Amino acid sequence: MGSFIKKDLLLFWRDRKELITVLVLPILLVVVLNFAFAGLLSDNANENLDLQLAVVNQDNELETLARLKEKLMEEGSVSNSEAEKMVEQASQLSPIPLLFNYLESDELKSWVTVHELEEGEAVKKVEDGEIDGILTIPSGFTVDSLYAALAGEVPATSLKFKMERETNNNSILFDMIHGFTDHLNFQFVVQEIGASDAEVFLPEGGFEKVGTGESFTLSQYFTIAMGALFALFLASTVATKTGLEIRQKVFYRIQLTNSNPILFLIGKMVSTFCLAWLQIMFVFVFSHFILDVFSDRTTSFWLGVIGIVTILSLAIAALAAVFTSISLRITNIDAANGIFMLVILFFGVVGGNFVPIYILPSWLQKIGEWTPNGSSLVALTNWIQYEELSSIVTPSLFLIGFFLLFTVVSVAIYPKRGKTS
Amino acid sequence: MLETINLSKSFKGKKAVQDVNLYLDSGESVGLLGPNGAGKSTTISMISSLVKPTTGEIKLNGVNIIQKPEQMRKVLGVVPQELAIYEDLSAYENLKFFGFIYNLKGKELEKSIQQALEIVGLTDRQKDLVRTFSGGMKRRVNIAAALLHRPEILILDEPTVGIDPQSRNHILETVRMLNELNGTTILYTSHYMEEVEQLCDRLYVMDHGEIIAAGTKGELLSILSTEDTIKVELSKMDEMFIEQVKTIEGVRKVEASQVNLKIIAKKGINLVSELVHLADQYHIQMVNFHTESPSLEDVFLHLTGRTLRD
Amino acid sequence: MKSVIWAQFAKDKRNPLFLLLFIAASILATLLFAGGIQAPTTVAIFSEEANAQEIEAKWQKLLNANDTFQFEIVSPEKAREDVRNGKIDVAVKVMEMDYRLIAASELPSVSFVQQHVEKVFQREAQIRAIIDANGNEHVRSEITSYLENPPIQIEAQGLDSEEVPNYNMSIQLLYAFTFLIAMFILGLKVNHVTHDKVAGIWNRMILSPMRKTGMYCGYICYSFLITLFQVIVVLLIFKYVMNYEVGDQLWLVILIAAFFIFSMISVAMLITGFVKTPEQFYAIYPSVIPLIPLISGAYMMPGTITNPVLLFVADIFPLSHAMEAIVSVVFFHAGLSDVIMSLFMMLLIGVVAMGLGINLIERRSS
Repeated sequence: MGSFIKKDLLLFWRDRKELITVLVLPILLVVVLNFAFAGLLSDNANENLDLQLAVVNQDNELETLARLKEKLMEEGSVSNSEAEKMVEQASQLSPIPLLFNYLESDELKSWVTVHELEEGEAVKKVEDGEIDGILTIPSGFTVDSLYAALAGEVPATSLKFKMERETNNNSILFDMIHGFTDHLNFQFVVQEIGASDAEVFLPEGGFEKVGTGESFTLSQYFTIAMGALFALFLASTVATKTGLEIRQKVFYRIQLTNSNPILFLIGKMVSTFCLAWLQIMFVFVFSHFILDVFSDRTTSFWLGVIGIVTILSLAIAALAAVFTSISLRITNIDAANGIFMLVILFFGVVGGNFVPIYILPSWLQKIGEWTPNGSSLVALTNWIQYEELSSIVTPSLFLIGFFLLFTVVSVAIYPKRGKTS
Repeated sequence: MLETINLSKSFKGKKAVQDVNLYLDSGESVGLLGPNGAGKSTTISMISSLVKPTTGEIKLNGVNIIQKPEQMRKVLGVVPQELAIYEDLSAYENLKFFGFIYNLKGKELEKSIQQALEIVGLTDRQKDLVRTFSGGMKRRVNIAAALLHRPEILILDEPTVGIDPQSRNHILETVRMLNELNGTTILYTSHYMEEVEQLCDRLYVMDHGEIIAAGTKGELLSILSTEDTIKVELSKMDEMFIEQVKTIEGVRKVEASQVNLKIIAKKGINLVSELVHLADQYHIQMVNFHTESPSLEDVFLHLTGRTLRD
Repeated sequence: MKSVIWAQFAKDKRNPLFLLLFIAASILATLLFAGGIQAPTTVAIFSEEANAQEIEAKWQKLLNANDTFQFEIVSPEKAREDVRNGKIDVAVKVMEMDYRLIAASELPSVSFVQQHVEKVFQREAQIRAIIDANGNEHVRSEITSYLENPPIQIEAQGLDSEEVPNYNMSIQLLYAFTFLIAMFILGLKVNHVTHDKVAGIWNRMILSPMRKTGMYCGYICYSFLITLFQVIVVLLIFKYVMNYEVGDQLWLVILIAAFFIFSMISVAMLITGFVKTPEQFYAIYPSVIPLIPLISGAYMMPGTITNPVLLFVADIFPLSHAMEAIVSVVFFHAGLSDVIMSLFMMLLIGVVAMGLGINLIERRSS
């Protein structure tokens, strides 16, 4: 048996290019993903944004109040004095100055740059990609909207947000302006109802942490997700190597020696186990040193991680054995590899290694726990947060279950002598 | 028609083949003999233009073809050592493909395929997937694939490796037939002495990347012609007797095992009477006595100090 | 060249299952993910006050006004347990006029939920204040109806059209997954070069009068045709069987796909140049491929990735250019002249990678 294990490990050792790929790629990926998503999706996302907003103001602000008064008297048949009073009141809520105040507020300054432009120029700049979107204030907007507010009618004109195409930046700009108009409208209601002096008790909000657990970060997610994902790839790599052994007729020789088939599989399993273990630990340790993923964690935390990685590696090793048996049975190495890839992609997806599983339909999420990578993700997530043994017992049992199941399956479908492809 | 001059090849500074000079006459069947790793495959890879020689020339009908391998490839058929065929295609489909790449089409292609199949005796099984074939049959498809364009020169690189004696005989017969009936020039590589002895008019012996001997079988054997091997079976063994035999003039080497003696001695000396005389002195009877001619195996042993299958 | 295509096809027609499996996978992946994106994220809410039921019902209604999230009432124990086990990212504990978020992570989804919840609670606090000041419950409906047609309105438009360009994430994902699977298929096919090399068939072809260019073209064309077949079949199924809006200009989409496939075949050829055996190829290729759509932003809204280094890396791979062109054509009705730059970039990547790849392969064999 020792000789089988030694052979498989040596085969890997000799092919150092592959070995290095297997070890370095996941780390590279963790770094790249962190890079890609850092800041983008975190709490202070806006700090990294640099949005360019063009404002095209076609509304002639100077005569507004006079025209509003005119309109109120003509169309709303309001008396002169009443109209004057209403205009006076509305002037406090004149939307355009408020909008500019908002756009130039300190809160927005750091990530939104406002350009006041003519329409033609703005459109050109959007087409050139210099500006994300255009906010157009149409002529007569102030009069129309204030009139609508006072008369309780639907306004004739509205603000226009123009974009070339829908992008992330555009959505943020639109949401931002929309949020502001919502706020403004609410002020109008309050004024309309005449309760502007009501005392508002704003909610306190905030977070309540679960237990005393540590919070779980995106970097940590990437680290454990990529670690488990690449361990899956390793299983298929090992199985594919069997193709090489068939081609070089080594496998026939091994069969001829009358060795117990289990020995051949155990060789594969042990070498996969060693490599998977090394690989995942590599990902953890390097991510930690490069990205400071697990800062200030105790020795017992790391021991727990090693424990989970160990049983995950066992499950992966057994999966490699199943793949090996399949590749001994399937005549076409491409077909075998195609199957491995699809299985891994499926496992990876439903196990939550490619994307956080909550974006999947719930029935798929449930399947996710039934994959080795999915279980290990649950175990590691819990361990990172709570460091409680009780929280990792179930997923660990799952992993051991996978190990046993896969081992049995691999032996069961291992080809009888003379039946290999 | 084919000649190599001081052909050498180094891989990363390591010399794989050194100063190989060999020639093939039209219609000849020539063997290239040597143990594994002697440089045979590299030599024929250079001849077949797959590997560029580091130095040296390859001449086809007197023209150096290293820079223009197309001419060589046209007249050459190569049967590689590995099974260079698609296992997932039938024998027929394989040959069709290899015929295609030699620009054969239509009836001509069909005719070539059927001929090649007939030569290797696989006409009945042509529609079956190569995957289902025995090792010997795969080897035969491997040969057939090199025959489609009717090459003038056929190079076979260990075409019988790893197959049963029956298939082996079949392949040897095929090669002999190609040579004798079709007049195809053959360069046959092997580390099996018997095959080369059986098939080839002339042979080259390679070891450590160099040709260490060349000639017809007779010529090679005459390398050993200054010696005779005499085998004697005795009624009993006596150390003193052996010591005495060694002192006989002309005896070069004596090997003893149990009651057998193998004596290598200069050709032409009269050992018999000396031996009879000595045996009498020690009260030993000679049960059996015969003189052996050397084999190619002995020649190889003599030249390299090791056997072919080391 | 034709002979190589013929032989590869003859081999593959015995294993049609393989291609069918991949076609099915591209459709399945799209259905799973695109569906998942559209469905609102479920967020658990619960209350631990005395009149929990009443409070829960009140807030559920208010919180569900927006369809991005689906707020569901669960028991406090289950909510805490699920958050703890990572089954859900966040739960909301609601009180009479206040809330607490229960979260165990700093994942982005948490802050999205937080923004929404905060807005709803603040608005409700203001309304509550008005009601209390007026002492009149009818004010609520007054406010609601007022806000349905507010005086200040904003609408989104296209640059030169009334309609907002109708971007659709599911359709983008459809293309992303189709291309992802296409990359796998073409990789497996390009790998036949290494296959035939280790089998010695490659040498046989070299010895034949067939030109080197013919040999390479054979493998490239075959991989190209098979992959293009997969893409076209998948798109046709989506368009005509499942009635997805894959775009009106199918021919232009297929043209982009064709450029992409060629370009990606070249990249696969480049990887082939680095490996000795088909098995090595299998060890490297499948682990590299899933990264490409990630860094190319194929799973995200255009413009989500802003990091210049990452953008540069993404530009090296054909997928980013293909997705850009596809998005323009499918959602924004771009014509051939608008995507010509993307096509050109893919061609350029293709030619460079192919040159390097073949060079490496040739250097290996001599």
